[in-house]
Amino acid sequence: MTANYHPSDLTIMRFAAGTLPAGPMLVVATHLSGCPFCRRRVATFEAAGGEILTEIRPAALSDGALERTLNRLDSSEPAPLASPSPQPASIDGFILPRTLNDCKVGPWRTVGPGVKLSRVTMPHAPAANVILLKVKANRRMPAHGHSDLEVTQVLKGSFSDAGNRYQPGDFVEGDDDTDHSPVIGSEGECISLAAIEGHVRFRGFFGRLLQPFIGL
Amino acid sequence: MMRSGSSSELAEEIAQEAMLLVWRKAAYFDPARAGAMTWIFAIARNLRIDFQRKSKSSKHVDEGEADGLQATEPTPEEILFVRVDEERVRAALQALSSEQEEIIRLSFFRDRPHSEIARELDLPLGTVKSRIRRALARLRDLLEETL
Repeated sequence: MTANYHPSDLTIMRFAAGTLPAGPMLVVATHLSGCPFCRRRVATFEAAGGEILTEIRPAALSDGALERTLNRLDSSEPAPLASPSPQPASIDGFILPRTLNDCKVGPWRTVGPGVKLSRVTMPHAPAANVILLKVKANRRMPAHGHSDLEVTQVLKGSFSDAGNRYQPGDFVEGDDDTDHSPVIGSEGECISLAAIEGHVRFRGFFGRLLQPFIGL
Repeated sequence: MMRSGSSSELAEEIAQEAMLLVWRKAAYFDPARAGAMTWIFAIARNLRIDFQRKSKSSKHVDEGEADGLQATEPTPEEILFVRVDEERVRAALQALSSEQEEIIRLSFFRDRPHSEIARELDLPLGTVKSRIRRALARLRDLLEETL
């Protein structure tokens, strides 16, 4: 499963810098877990971060900070790391990427003909808008435009949008420059993981049906 | 840390934690995988993410091991690439025009790079977006040239 579509340079940079919001960070991490090419891109930006650090004007710590730090070194030993949950997350028998292991995955809810949605809740960022979307073959996804950032990782099946075909492993990124009306491939249902930042404007009948479920 | 919007108290707390972690984990530092600055950068970044998470949930902070960032072990090829990257990245950053280098530095630690930089430099959002995009594309070209 080699991806053909990857996160933008800016998104990879923000992931490496740790400044992406929690939702998009989860979707990018999911892409990275299957994409050695992008893991190298992240490593490149981590090196850039180290390089930029060496040239930043230092901020002074408060008086006695070093002493307090050294005192803590003597006293506090780190707690052992929590082991990751061994049980892979799944929904209706479909095994989800292990980046979702710590998340609460809600049940599929029908939000329109052939369109089901499940809410993904991250324990450390319960307000983040992360969803799984399952759409039947040949269906059109609700048409929408963005006001901020939307990222999608294809997990199963495929869809086409603006002349591109996205398959499992592919990452799709949209911002307010983009308008979407993706169509699902004929080979079967499509399941994707999406994080949405800011408000999404849905258009058309199904879009208006979907809006209250996503709550954006 | 303060650049990425943390308060000075939080930044100091993270700085102290980072120093402790660098000390405790020095034995795990592997120069074959990353240079010292990259390693320290990654520790500080993971701590900042952990602190943000802690402030939003009751979950215990796990020592700069932000989930997802270490989701997979690197392959030998990746390790090789990572090590080579640092020399190349330094050279590529230096080869950028000063305007492009500046916009990358400015955007690196921002939570909302487009809108924050547009406000600071008093430029239209679209101009900032295209400048960042072009600077990053140029950086990518420079990195690929040296492969």
